[in-house]
Formats: sequence, structure tokens, C-alpha cells
Amino acid sequence: MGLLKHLLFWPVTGPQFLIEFSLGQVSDTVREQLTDDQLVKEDLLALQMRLELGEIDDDEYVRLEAELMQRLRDVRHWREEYGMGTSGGPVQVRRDPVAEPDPTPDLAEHVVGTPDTPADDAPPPGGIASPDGASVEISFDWEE
Amino acid sequence: MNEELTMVEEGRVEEGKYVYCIIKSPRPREFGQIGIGEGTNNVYTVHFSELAAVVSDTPIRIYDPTRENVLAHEFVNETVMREYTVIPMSFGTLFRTEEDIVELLKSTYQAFDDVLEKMKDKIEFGLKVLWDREKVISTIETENEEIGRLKEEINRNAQSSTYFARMQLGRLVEAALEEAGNRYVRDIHETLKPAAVASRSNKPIGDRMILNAAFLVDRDREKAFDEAVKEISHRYEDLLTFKYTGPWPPYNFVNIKLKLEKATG
Repeated sequence: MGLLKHLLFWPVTGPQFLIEFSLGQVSDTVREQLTDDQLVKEDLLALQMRLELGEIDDDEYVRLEAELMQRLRDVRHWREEYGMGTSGGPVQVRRDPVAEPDPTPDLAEHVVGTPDTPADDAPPPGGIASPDGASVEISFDWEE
Repeated sequence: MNEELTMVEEGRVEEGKYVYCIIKSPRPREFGQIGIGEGTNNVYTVHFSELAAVVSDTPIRIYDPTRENVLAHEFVNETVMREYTVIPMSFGTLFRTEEDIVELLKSTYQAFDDVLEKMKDKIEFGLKVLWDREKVISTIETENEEIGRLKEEINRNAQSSTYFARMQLGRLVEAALEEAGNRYVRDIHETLKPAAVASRSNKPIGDRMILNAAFLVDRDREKAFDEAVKEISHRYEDLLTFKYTGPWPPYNFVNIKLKLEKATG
């Protein structure tokens, strides 16, 4: 998306871009945009929240989710291109507790919760986990 | 780009193991055909001594965090959690072989064992709190004398009231909003703290959310925690919306860090 925007608006933004940044910095900026999945993940959480609040229906959700998944794949692609780790980041889906426990949950009844761990710590989907060098931490802090 | 990022090696799909969580179980267990991915995938345990990883077989691939996939991951953990204390793995964690998993359990045995002991009978609840900005503002206007007076003045002298007065009102309202948000969040934490072990605050999602938190609760305090949530949501029912979920495995309080090898390597 980022690259597309750059190309589309190049006649407008290009000259200014070149004045403001050295060539090296331009490529850093472009690379950052192409390889940053934080925004996609935040968009995904926001999308899930909208479904939960009833602002969009299921069909709309599925459509927009597909777009976000494509953006994630694009980011993964560019991260591989640049030899970076493919950081994914967990998103967790949670069932509404008011509903009775249902052994065969209906997807439509599920709502979405928070990302479970900070993205930096998360084992990215896409890499294969290694048996070596694993560690586990717990936190019993009270965070306000 | 390919929809399906299956790694193909010499025309053959490489098989791996999807890991959901770590538990303590002296005996092998099966949890049914509820594994992630297409088709029916048996969920079973891989052991080293008394520790076990709950896994299912999968082609080595990247699982997109779609609702369907994430729910499959969640559902396995919820199922296992009914009988065991679990250390949940993050979504999308794959190991190449059973031997690798055994090696992980072996090399991290003591740490996993300690964490499982500390997490015993502890469950997580999620609480998101959203506000109705307009309602909070009208509350502020009635409660805050200075703002109420200024607003009245501006309304009375609609024509002559200065730009400055309006700016002043806007600033005061913004400050009061922030103060009110902080006060609500503090009050919620104070009410829940006696019934919970730990809390974690995540980044709010969207501009209506003022709290996006997870709480760790002892199983035998679950009722007390429920009551506390009910009490606080009742106290603010006109102003705030509470989204209360759980119980969940302690996703926000345990973190397994894994090193990764490249899928294509």
C-alpha cells in the first residue's frame, strides 16, 4: 500500500521528498512503511471491536478482514525481501462470557479480545520455533 | 502472492506440529478433532516426563490471524483449560518435529514447571471500558461549576461571546474529560483490586475506549471478581459500557519467548 501511494503521488510528493530526505533516508522510509505490520494489527483489533459493537455486520467483517490479511501478507513478503524476521503477533478471540458455555461455538457469537503479548515478544507465525533458547516469564504486577 | 504459504520441498508438503499450550499431565491425552487448519486434526499431547505440549499435526505454513484460525487456537486452549492449568502459546507457533518439542520441554522443564505451579488455579478475565463522550461531557457541564458558568455565559451572549471564551471552554472541557477518564479508570482498578491477583493494561482500541485491561484471578475468587465487576459497571451504567470476557488462559500474564528459525531455511 505504502509503495503504491508513493508511486501514485510521486509527481506531487516526489520533488518534496527528494528535497527533504537524502536518497538513503528515502529508501529507509519506504522500507519502514513496507515492513511495519503494527498498523495492520491495530487495524485488525479495531475491526474486531467494530464487529463486537455491532457497527458492522458479519459479511462486512469478513470482507474487511480479507483486505487486512492481504496487507499482512504483503508486509511479510517485504520483510522476507529485506531479510527481516516475519513478525506476526498474536490476536486472540474471546467468547462473550454472558453466553452459556457452548461446546460447538458459533463463530458469530464470538467476540475478540486483546493482543496477548506485546508484538515484540511474540513468536511470529511464519517462522518455525526452535527448541533451543526458549524462556518463560510471568508477571503478577498490578498495572494501572 | 500465494494465498497458501505452504512450504513445498521437492514437491512434498513438509509436516510440522502446531503447539497450543503447555500443561502438566503424567499420561498422554487426546482432546478430539478440534485442531487448527483444514480437515479434521486430532489434538494430542507430546511428553517429556510430566510436562506435555498440546499439539496437532499441520503442514508447515503461515497461519493468518483470521477469526476462524484464531478461534480454532482459542477453542483448543479453552477445552484443555477445563481440566488443566495451561501456559498458552502465542497464536501461530509451529515446531518442525516432535523431537524439537520434546527438546523444548526438556531444556525448559524447570521454568515451565515453576510457572505452572504459580499459575495453578488462576484464570484471566478481560475488561474493556468504553465511554459515551457526549454523556460524559454533559455530566461534566453539570458537575464542573466553572465550565457550566462559562457555557451559560456563551449561550446567553451568543452574538458577543468571544472566540477566546469559546476556546477557553473547549480547553476546559478537554482537560475535564481527561481528568474524568483517569478518575473512572482509577476507580475501576480500586474496585477490582481486592478480588484479583494481577492486572495488565493494554493499549485502548479506537477513540471510545478508556480501558483495555486483563485481570488475573484465583479460581476461588471468581465470584468475588464477578461481583466487583457488576458493582462497578452498575455504578457507571449511564456513562460507560463494560465489555467483560473470560475466563481465559493467562495470556497476558505468561510469556513464552521462543527463538525462530527461518521457515524456508
